[in-house]
Amino acid sequence: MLNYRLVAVLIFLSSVAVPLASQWAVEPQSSWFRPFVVWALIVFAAYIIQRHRKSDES
Amino acid sequence: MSLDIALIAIGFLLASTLGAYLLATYGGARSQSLILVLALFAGTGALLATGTIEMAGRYGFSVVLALFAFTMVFLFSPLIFYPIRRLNEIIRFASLVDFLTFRFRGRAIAVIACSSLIIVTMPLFLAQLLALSSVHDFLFESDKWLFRLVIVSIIILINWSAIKQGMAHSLRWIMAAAGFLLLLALATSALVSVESIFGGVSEMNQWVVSSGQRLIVQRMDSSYSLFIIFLAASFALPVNFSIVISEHISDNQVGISAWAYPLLMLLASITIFPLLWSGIAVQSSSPLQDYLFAIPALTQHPIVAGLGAASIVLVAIGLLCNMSTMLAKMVLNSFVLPTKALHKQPHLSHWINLRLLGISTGLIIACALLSYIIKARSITDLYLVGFAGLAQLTPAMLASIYLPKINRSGVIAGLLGGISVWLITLALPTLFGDYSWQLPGTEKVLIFGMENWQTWAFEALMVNIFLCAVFSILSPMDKEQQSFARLCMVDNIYIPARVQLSHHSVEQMRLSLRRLLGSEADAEIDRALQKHDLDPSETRPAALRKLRDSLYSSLTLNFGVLAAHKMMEEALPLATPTRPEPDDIYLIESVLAIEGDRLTGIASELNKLRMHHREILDNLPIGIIALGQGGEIIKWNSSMARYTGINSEIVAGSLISDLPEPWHSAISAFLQEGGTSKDSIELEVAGKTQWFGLQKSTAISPDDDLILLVEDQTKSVLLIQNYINNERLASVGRLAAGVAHEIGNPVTGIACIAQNLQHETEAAEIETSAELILSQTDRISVIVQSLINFSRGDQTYHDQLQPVSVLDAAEEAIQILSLTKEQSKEQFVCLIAANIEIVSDHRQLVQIFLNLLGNARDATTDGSPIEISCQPDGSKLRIMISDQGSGIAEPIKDQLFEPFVTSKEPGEGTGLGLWMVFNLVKNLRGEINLSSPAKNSDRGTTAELLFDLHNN
Repeated sequence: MLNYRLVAVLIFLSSVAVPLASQWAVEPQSSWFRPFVVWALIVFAAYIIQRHRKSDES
Repeated sequence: MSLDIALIAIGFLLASTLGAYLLATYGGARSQSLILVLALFAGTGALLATGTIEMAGRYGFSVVLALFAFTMVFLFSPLIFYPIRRLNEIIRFASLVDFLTFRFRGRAIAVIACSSLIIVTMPLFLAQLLALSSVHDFLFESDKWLFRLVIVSIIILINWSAIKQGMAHSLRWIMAAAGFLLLLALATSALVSVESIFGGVSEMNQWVVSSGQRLIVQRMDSSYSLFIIFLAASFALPVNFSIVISEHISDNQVGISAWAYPLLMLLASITIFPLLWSGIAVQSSSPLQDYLFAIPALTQHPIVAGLGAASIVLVAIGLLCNMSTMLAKMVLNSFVLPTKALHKQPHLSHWINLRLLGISTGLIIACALLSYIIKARSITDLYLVGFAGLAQLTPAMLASIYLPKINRSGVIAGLLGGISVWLITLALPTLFGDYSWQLPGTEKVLIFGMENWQTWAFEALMVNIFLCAVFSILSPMDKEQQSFARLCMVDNIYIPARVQLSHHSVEQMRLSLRRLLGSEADAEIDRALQKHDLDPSETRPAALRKLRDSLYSSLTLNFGVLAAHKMMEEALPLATPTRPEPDDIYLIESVLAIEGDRLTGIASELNKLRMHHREILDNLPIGIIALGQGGEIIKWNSSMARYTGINSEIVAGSLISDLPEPWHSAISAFLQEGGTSKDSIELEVAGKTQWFGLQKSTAISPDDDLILLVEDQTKSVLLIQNYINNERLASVGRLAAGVAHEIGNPVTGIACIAQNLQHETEAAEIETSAELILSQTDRISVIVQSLINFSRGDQTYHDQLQPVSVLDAAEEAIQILSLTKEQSKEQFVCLIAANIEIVSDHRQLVQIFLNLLGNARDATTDGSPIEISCQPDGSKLRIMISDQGSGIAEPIKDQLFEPFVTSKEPGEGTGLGLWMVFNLVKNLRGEINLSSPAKNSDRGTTAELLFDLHNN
């Protein structure tokens, strides 16, 4: 049972989101904490997905 | 100052461990989730407290990417850990080595995986000892021996306590305390350092830009290597594996860790760069890995410095305890238990605990001794080498759940090759000093060690993957490996096989297991019985299989895959199947009922269709029983439950012999008989007499399941009985006229004789008259008795059949028929001998003759004779009634025994006579056949009856 949604998310992350985010995070003249902002957004997304999954199961 | 910091550190250590212990003991579900996430956070050991600051100095922002990669395993836990957790519900794994042994089978894989894990975790052990040394060097000037002795003693004490109480659970709260202390220490150290050195965060930001540090840390040159190595290591880190697969952790808690663990890592990572820059700004002489406590101490913050030192000590001790006990368990399961005769140990649990303590202590002491002779002094180096080593186990782990073609030979070759390359090019040079080797015939010099760690880490991983793939392709895979490979696949749904056990009761299993495990067997059996709510007197095969599976799972957790497999083979072996076990479609159905929500797309639609068909089957108004090989009941629908009062959950997995009476006898007798159907079986169910019809499927092949259909025929049987009674009573009415005529003649005769008697005086004449009167009254008695016999409504059933004279029955029928119409008995020619008897019922046989002879008479208009004859046919008697009448009309030939089918004029026949005859014959276990024209003739009809001949 292939989880198509997860595969689609992975493809999107690897081809679009990660290159753009890493480029944005280490731009010259940018703030030093930008990489942590990206990380925080990913944690927030994981939290939302987890909440969604929990409500699906309950 | 140092003493102050040491005392503060001890205070923090005691307070945090006590706090975590109380939280773990008395806290609710939320606090358990917090404990789990903090324990996972501390699972990185001294890396976050010490190594990452040094790593940030070396690799800049690449370390952020590396730490993020380390948390990705939890972000993607549905891909990695959920499949293993699902499998862990069936087979309980104590460690990663047990999981690999289960998947790839054999002792070789256990020994090599265990040895590899010990070797690759050595640098991590050494890193913790080095972190403890750093704290010691900073705080004390005393000899390190004493400090190390104290630390080793504490570790042994904690390990012993954890081993006795259940390792994973006991150590988790220590790890949680360490995690909490570490997070607090990182946050406060960074805050006080930035505040003291820069005067605030905005000032620090200005300094970062002005000093050029921003450009320095923004370099990402090692990011890819660090990302891959940290990601791969996180899969195989023993702490992660053991915590995530633990039965004490729910799926919900794993879900929470998917975001909470990366969040904690993020919070910890944010503090790394401020601490680094604080140290650089004040030009600290301390090594980067000591900044957590050295910078606060330098800025006169002893409490924060003490907190930092305490966090490093607790994190290092926690990880040393955790890893040493886990590795001890792996060593015990892989090397010791599979070869030991466990029944010889009177106190098995204590014996195992002592060995666990011995092995874990040996590992700690070996690492402590090794730390004296190694040259590496950088915690970062040790972590990078350790993680590059741990990454060697990841290909095998991922292949276990995603690549069914990867086999034992491939994994062994890959691990041996990868670990060898890692050891030669990275581990040994890092620990004992770099060395180089000039390639023969060239000027190229290979430098082994940390200088080229990225190259060697990738080389080792590539060699591992290449050898694993090549050997898996080239070497054959036996059936056992194929079967377990399928079982471990990520999309597999576990269907327990319907295997035959060699034991037939719980007591037999208990005795057998006791021979191997001694008194421990009783505890194992009792736990398994309690888990499944089974009774010790249980004998149902399905329940015993469930018990065996549960025992296997528990033994695997306690003694490892190898020892458990050996025990099951010796104590609870499976019976050798006479033919291959078929796929158990009913078990698949029961599993799909639970796992159905995982299906998507067309599989989901097919599942809906399956459920629809299943509902139809369950709700059919006819009982369905499916019997597997060995006579085990695997399907029992709701109609069966209604008929019998036995629920399908209770009866599933039982044998027919386990069914209560009268079902056991009725179904067993039917199965033993050759026929495919049997009607009107009379059973006493719940104090009421009921009739059931049984049918069984004709198996296409011997492997097919047998399907039994059970139909409640009570209503139709009662209907037939009522009809027969009514018909009989109606016949009595029709006979009345004939009877009156028949009785009238002798009565007239008696009256005449009586008149003559008035005038007779001679004794001889009077005697003659009296004899004549008596003969006339005898005649009346015979007629009346026939009428009484015929009109009585008693029923006779199969078990009341008895020998019956065919001639008597035929003559009685002829006698009764001669009463109904003006017809002479002479038309009926009875050729049956007086001594022929069949197994039947007299009254029902008379009724059959009456109907058949009546039909023959009605069809014979010219007065031609109606012949009744018989002839033996083996153990049967064939009775033939032939007439020379009009025969049977062609259109109704095929429907003769159906109700309301007649060729007579309206008002003359109901069409129920032959239908009733058919039911009576069936009730008497006979057969009936009508042929027209009659045998040996060109007209008329022959009715043939076949009954069991009674042998005198």
